Amino acid sequence: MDPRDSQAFEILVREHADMLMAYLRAMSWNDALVEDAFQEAIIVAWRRLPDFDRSRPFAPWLRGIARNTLLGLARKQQRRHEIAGEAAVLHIEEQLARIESTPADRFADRLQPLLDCMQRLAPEQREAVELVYAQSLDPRVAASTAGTNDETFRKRLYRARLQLAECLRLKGFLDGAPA
Amino acid sequence: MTPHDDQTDRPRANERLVHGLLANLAPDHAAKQDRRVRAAIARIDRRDGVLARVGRFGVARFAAAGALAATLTIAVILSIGPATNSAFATLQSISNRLATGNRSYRQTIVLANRDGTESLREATVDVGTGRRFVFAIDLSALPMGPRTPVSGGARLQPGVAPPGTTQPGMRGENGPTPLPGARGRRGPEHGDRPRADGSMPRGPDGPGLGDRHGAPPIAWGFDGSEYWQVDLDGVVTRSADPLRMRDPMPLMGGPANEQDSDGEDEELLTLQPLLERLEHGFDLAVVAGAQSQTAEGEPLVVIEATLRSDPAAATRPSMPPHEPHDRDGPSVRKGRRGMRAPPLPARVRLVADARTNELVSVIADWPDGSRFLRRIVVERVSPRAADDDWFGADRHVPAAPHLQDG
Repeated sequence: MDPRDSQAFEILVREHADMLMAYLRAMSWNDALVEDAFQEAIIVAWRRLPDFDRSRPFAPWLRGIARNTLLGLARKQQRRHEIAGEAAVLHIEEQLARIESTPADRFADRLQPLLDCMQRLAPEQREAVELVYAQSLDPRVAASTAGTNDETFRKRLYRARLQLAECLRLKGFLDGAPA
Repeated sequence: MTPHDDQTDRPRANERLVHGLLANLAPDHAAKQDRRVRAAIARIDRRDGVLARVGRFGVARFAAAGALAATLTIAVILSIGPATNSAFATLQSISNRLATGNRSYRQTIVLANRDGTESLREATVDVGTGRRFVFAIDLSALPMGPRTPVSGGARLQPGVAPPGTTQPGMRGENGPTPLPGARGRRGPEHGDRPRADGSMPRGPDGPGLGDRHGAPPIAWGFDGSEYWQVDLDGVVTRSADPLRMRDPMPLMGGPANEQDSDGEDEELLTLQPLLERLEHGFDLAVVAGAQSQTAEGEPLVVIEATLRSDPAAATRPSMPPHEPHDRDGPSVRKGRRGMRAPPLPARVRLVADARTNELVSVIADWPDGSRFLRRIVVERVSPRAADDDWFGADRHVPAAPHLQDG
């Protein structure tokens, strides 16, 4: 028994944790479901590690486990309708693989184009993004902070995300048809 | 997955992905990730046992994939040895377990007075999932003065400052001078969430609180989204940041001025920060042959943590961590003034349930000459938190009759 092995697994998990959470969040808007799926996916990955083909990259393998775990949990909780469709999931996987192929030490370092695109948002949209994502406010609280009602704020946030996606597509960061 | 997806869904898929990526922007993102990973690893440890996790994964096979960080970490791990590894893993598991589920602990705290005497305090700390906590001083157990020489002392009265104190506090133990702008900066309905432009609101902005010095805090906590503090008058103050930096707790005999304390000393009383401190600068050991089971026959594990004597100890991990411990919650002070670590205990003895790694008791001893804490003894008691509301401030506002009784 070699104490190095457990540490190596944890290191690998940490290296891929940002990508994994982004993937799960993209698949489901349900934060609780995402958190559960993340935990379960790590445990399942550990259990299935002997089956992992070490000649292949770790990230897609981990994403596959996470996807199945999330679907399984959603099915159990009768929330399968909340999960992104199959084509969307495949597209998200392709985009994450694309992002991972850019040279950087950490996943977060690869997101500079996202920050650049945020600067191009309209002030109201940028405020909405910052309140919800940078300050982690609940959208209802964020709406109140922004001085608007819940529905208007949600639409503003949705349009901001679409704008960001389009900006990232134009930068070549993401692939896909124009919005 | 729904069958109706096609190419036209790609903009929506990209929008979803943007949602996933944006979560990386939160300032506390790294800390949350750290907690997630630690929780998952702790679950693996509990499920399979730490030793079972060992040996299933060949790091050498991944070295070829360029895991430089892994290689460096492993090199350090090799120099530590399996005993420390086991203690460190157990400590981490205990720490993770402390942040899962609701538990209550009774604390007996020996405080160092500035005149060399000691005082006793009783308190309860409740910990809950998501690093929520409540630390509440047991007012009925306040001794009203230094332990030596023995003196009776008057009971605290709400809103009445004992003679010779700058704010209501312990008789014979002058409370600290209020920090500039520390009190009355915001009322119960005025949190200090950042404004949309990222700036922080400046007080006094609480109605009628601008010129108020206030009573000493008697309880503080974290409800999962906000820190709060309740004073002897029942006034609740809330903040997105820990409050101790502004309000040291005079009833806990905290140091007298801002230079002496930024509240980190009191923070150690909430258990989770204390356990996290042990991961850096302490030698850890699982005590062989120590008390091995409870009276009910449940197996126990005992860990002893001894503060390293070299000056650089406080900044060196007790066991090489896999990532910087960049967490949020009460133990992280990014950008806080001074970044001065509090005096650490010289020895800490942790006892935990060997099967679940639930913390059972703690004895922490500070070195002679400690300016605040001398010893804390922590024992698990029946959980007080019957529901999630327990971790909110409203449940800890003192009832008027209790206050009048002192």
